[in-house]
Amino acid sequence: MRWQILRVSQQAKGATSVEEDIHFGETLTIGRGADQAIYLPDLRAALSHCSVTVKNAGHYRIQSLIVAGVRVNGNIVHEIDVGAGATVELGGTRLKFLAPPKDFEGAVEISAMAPEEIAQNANRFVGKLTLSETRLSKRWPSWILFCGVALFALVLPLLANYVPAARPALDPLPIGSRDTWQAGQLVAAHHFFGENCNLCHEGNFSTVKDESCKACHGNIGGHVDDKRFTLSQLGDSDCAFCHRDHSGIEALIREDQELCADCHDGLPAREKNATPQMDVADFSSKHPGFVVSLANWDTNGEYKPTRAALATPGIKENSGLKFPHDLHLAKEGIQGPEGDEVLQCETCHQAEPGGALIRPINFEDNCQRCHQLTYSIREADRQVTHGKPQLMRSEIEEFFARQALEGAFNDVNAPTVVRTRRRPGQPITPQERAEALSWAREQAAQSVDNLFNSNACTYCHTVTTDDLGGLSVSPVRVAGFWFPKARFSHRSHESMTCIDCHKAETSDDSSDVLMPDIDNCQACHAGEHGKNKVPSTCITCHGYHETRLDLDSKGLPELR
Amino acid sequence: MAMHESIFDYSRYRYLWVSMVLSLGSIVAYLWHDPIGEPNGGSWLGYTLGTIGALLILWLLWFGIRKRSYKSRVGTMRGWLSAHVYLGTSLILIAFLHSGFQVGWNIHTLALVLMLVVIFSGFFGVYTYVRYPAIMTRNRDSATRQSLLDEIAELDAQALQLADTVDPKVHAAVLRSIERTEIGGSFITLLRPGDETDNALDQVKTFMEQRDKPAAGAPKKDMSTMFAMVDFLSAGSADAKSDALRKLLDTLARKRSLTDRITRDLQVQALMEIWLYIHVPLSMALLAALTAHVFSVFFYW
Repeated sequence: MRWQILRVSQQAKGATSVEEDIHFGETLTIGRGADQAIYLPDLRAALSHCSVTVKNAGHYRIQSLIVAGVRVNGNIVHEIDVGAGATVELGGTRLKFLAPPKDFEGAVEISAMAPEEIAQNANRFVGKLTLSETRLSKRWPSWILFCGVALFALVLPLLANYVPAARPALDPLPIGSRDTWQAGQLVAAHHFFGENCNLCHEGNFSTVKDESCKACHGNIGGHVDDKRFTLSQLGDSDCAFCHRDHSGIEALIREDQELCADCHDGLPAREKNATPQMDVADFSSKHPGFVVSLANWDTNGEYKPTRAALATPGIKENSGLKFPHDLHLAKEGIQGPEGDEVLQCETCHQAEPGGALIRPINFEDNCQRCHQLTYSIREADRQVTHGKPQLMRSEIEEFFARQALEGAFNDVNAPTVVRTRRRPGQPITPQERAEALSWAREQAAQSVDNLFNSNACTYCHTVTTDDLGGLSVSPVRVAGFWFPKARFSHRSHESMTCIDCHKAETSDDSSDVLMPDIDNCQACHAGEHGKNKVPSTCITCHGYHETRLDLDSKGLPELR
Repeated sequence: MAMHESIFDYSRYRYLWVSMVLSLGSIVAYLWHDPIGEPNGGSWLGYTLGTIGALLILWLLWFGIRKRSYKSRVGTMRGWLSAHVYLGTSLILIAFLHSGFQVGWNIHTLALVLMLVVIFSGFFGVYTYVRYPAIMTRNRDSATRQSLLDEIAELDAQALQLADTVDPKVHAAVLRSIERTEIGGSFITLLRPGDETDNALDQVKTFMEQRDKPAAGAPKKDMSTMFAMVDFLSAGSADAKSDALRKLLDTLARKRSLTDRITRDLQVQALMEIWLYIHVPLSMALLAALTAHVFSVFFYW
């Protein structure tokens, strides 16, 4: 096998000279040893550093003969197959394997490296010494992160805002949707439209408009009737001033004491007593006694309740009824239709289905079982209809008229015509008829008088008789809404008994007002910051949007 | 001006005081204010602290620009860094008070998290600033890095020469070691350098054992280099080769100590810089998140 060995040496002035040599042998050995085919007197080469064999024309196999390996094409290898053009660097010498010319199987060109190159290679062990030389960068990650965050946090949500068609695609995204703009969860009631930001937000840097709220909450009034009260402090208040959404599932309605106390604390003094409002700030320390609405009727007989503080000395309720609670609640019982029975409050006072209020008392359900409106001994089950004096009178008159005209009335004092049993179809003469009806009127008048004036009605009612003998019953109305300006739920107080608050057991007169005053509530409730008691703010009992509770010109609540 | 004023006690702790006053003022205002509902970014204090926080962030970001403007006469670099560290720290408190400690899966909390990562990576930077320069100085021992590198090249040449007089095997081992020596490289190598830069010592050791005790059975593989060297030298074969071998061992040990020092030097420097590769890009992400935070809050006010 013939190897062509070309030794290139640098001459002066940049010229080069080539010295050709021929080597015979299967392998071309390279090293510092004198026995090597290519002898390199360089300490960086081993005595026998590597060997090269020809695989086929122009293709060589280079094998390192020492553990250090050999640098082929810049990389340290132990064995490699290369084509023509491959270079081996050994110390300061470069060997370039060439395509063999004619008559040769292998060819190599040997040249000395330039001193600068050798110096450079000597520093090959020095890699990148600082982070800034490595692939690490601050600039590109900065740009990528800046643009990425801007895209997902700003551009995509804005796209959804301006391009409604893109919303179905953008809004469900876990990142990049407008959902990620939400500072907090929407209040529960707003969840069903929560994805539609623009229902509330116009997206033009303006605050949420009242009109947006009123699209659904149009029936919510203001704090006061703005037609009569012009409160500059309230006029500018946007809904959103108090009702801040995105603050959690329950956090939309203010219940803090300051909501009211901010204005109502010291209000009369500030307004120079021009307002009927009271000075209120805290339930335990600054709240007036309770004021109730008492039943009253004006001169035209129209119901016009009056407002009176419970603390008013000798306060009386004018319900038009006579009713001693103590008698009915007597521990030893009270006479009933089937003997003595012990009544409980609940016997008559039943809660409304919602539990907040107590159902109104009515005669038929609560009284009539004991206080029956019978008027005839002969038909002891027969009772008049309660509550309509004219109808009651008619019912009694009709009853006796029928008795009289039918005859066979078993009473020795009755006229013959009334006592006579007539056969069916037997006519009655006009004279007999007049006589019978006269008797009937007499009986009816007696029964009416008996019922209204001595037996039944006057038990509970005040009955007056006018000059012409006309009977009238004083109007009856238990106040019903004692506290029209406050909320109270009996259901929330089910753990208590009725008499804990209502002193009914010792009340012997229906004019007693059995509503408890504030001290009763204060036994358990205190203001917002109350210690060891139920913290209760204004909103616990009062509403803010209660225009229906506006006061009229006399400072009375207008019940609409 | 004190002789050794650091970024901490710059101008008699001026910026420590500034940030303390800012922090305490924020805490007092937070405790005193009475927002509607839970404390949040939408109350007057929330907006106030948010504005202060946003301006602080912009100013802290400006440090990156101020750092490069060498001609700037607005304060000294040390003063700026002192303020950067102290006010950046107080930003943690201001941001939490601004948000009323509310967090969620949203862009607003993203800004908070990015801000915290940036600040805490900055804390690491302060730590390196305090701790590593002294380590670096001690490690270099008044040599420059280039002189150390040059010395390695010289030692390599010496080692080859010595090895050549010992044995071709040793020469090959030394050659291999030289080829394999690598100082620096990727950022991972810089931060966690492996110590396998030079195994010529082990090779030489093995050689010595084989040469010295050809009949003593298997070489003691676990014997340390130093022991091997002592063993060898005390074996008394004080011919020319053993003399060269001893010199070679000296040279190789010297080289190992040099490479250790350089890689440690590079590692310390890399540690002093690596946090910036988090600090800076994430502060840019924070800038975008902050923009989105402020924009979204007022866009959908």
